[in-house]
Amino acid sequence: MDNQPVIKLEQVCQKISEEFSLSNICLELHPGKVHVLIGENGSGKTCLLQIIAGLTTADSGEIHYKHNKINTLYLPQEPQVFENLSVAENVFFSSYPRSWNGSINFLKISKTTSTLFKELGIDLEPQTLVRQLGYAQRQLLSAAKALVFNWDVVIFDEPSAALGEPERKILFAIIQKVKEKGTSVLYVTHRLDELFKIGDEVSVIRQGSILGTKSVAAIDKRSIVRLMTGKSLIERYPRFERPLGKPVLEVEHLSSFPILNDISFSLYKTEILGITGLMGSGRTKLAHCLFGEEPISSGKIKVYGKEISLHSPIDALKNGIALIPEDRSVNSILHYQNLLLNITIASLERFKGFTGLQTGRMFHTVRKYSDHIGIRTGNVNDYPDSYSGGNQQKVALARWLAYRADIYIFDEPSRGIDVSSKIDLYNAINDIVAKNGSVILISSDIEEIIGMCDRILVLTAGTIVANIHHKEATPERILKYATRG
Amino acid sequence: MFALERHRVIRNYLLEHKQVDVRTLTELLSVSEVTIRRDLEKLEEDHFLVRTHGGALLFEAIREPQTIGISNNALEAIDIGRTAVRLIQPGDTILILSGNHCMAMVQAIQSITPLVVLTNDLSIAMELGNHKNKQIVLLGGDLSSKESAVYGALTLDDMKRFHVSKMFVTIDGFSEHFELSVSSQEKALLIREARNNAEELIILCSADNFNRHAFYSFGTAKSGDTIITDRKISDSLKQQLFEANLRLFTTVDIYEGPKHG
Repeated sequence: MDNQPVIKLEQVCQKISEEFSLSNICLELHPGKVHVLIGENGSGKTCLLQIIAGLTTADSGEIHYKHNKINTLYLPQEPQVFENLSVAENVFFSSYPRSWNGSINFLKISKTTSTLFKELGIDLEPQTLVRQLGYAQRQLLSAAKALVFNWDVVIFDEPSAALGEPERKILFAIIQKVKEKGTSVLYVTHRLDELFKIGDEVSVIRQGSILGTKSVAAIDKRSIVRLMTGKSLIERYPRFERPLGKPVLEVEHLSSFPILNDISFSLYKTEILGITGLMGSGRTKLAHCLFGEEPISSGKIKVYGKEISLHSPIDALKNGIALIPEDRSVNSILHYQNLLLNITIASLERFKGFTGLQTGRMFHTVRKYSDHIGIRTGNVNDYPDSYSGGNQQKVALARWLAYRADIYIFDEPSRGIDVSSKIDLYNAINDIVAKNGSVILISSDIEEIIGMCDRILVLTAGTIVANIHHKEATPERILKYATRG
Repeated sequence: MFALERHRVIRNYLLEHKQVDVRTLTELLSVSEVTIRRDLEKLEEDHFLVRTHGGALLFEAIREPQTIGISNNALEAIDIGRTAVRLIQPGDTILILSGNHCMAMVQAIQSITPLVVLTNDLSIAMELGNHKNKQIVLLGGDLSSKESAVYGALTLDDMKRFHVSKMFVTIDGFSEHFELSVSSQEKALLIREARNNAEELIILCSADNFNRHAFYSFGTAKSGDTIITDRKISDSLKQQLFEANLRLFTTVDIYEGPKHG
């Protein structure tokens, strides 16, 4: 076997958004090797995969292929299947075997699938319609595609994130077989244990650049974690110490189908409580449960010691819980409405006069909010649709500040926003806790979590695995819990 | 709404903004333009404002243009001082060096006890002397002719004896290269000495003083230092400070407290 790489990337760059780009990516994929790409959420993994798979074109740089034609199979995180076709048809979709007259040999695909599945231990009938399958089964069936054709490169994008232990074993068996066929495998994960189980080579990606490529045999867990987190700058976050008050929110044994399992914690007055975890750990789900957006299957939620039941966000707001959700342009901003209404919509009660709304006071209030948290340009007649991510986030925050909630839940508030908006946001959070409010900060930015929060909960696969005081928190320690190392 | 009540609103608005147009007032008060014009006439007779085409100016604003600047700065100084107080915890040992922001700080410090305060400013010491459960230590030295504070060799010598957890300093210049400066030499010397005996340096600086040099420099901002400024600070500067690992607090004061408790 010659040692020429199947695909070789040289100095590949691509701009993804104003604040984020892939820069100078160099990567080689060798035949018969499993190359693991490891990195935190938002480090640019998926974008890089799409370039390798040819789904997007890089802005600059070179990609060399071993042959003129390379067969690449890209398996995205959400399995792409045809729901109205059977399992066997899905497995063979890109390479149907033909009969002598050119028609598809259904008997053959059904038989091959059956033997293949038996060999791997997948308990599925080839004739079942995919519509009836669950997520894990779909994932395995997609992975099986890698075995029925001679691919040059197979790319797995975090296939194991939502798989249980038995399914993961099967997945690894598939990867092992693919590898033995001489195919080059690119496997993306953020779980360290997987790296040591299946990897031959590993590349660490952080903030859009590859920090290093090493052979798995030559490294240990600690050095990988150090590479992943890098030099941490924790001191720059505007933290201030303050005495904590009584519990404001108590969550007892909360479970919610299908992820969250037996979650218990308390949030104290004036506290900033951090919740972190990898993608799919149930972070956002927890936020939704506390905001009444998703039902809980069991457990109690208490506010100021009194048990409450949340059937909708209205119930949550009545109890003083506000959520600044992820993805503000979809979930927060009222499109085709001006800034005035976007900020005052939740607190119109305050502007009630004898003859209707007191628009003058509304104008005045909105200008004040724009000034304090730095919404630019901040004209009351602007349409926040056209604002940058940072400014949209501030609009979402201003809306709930005007509502005067007791508990503010921020879900990934600083993802994809510019640095100066981040600082305005942190200072607004400080203002809340300085005046007896309480904050839950959900974030996958570990530095931010350690820099801002008083206490940090680490969520892994729907359960709280650690509760760390900020003085004892280090990026390595949190990452260790989050990756179940 | 009664005329008197309207006058009060207009006065407050003018005091804050120095000028106003009739349309803003009609929106603010939900009354007709005619009524507003009549109110403005009345207030002009009282020499509170001067009417202009379509609006009015605060009387003082015309007479003494400089006072606007000063009063605005005074408001910002108070905001910065209040934000600085958030960083003080009961039980801290702090050093407050003389300066306009620091004076504003002292007024908001009342409820934090116990506290040990070291200062070179007589008026700060006097003000704090009235508070309960605080230990005030006044540094010795030569009384400055310009302000009610002490400086000089004696003060420097005195400073060597103390160790504080946080020191608060008002500065007059913060250059592009993060060089910190003040406008008097003796102050620069004292800050430099005090910096050796403090665990954390907290710099109070008006946004106007960024990218500026005052005459006497006393060192550069280092990673881990804290800066408190007002909201006018530019976005690019926020980013620069963040990238240099400096902690930045701005005077955000907008949350009105939790509704329920």
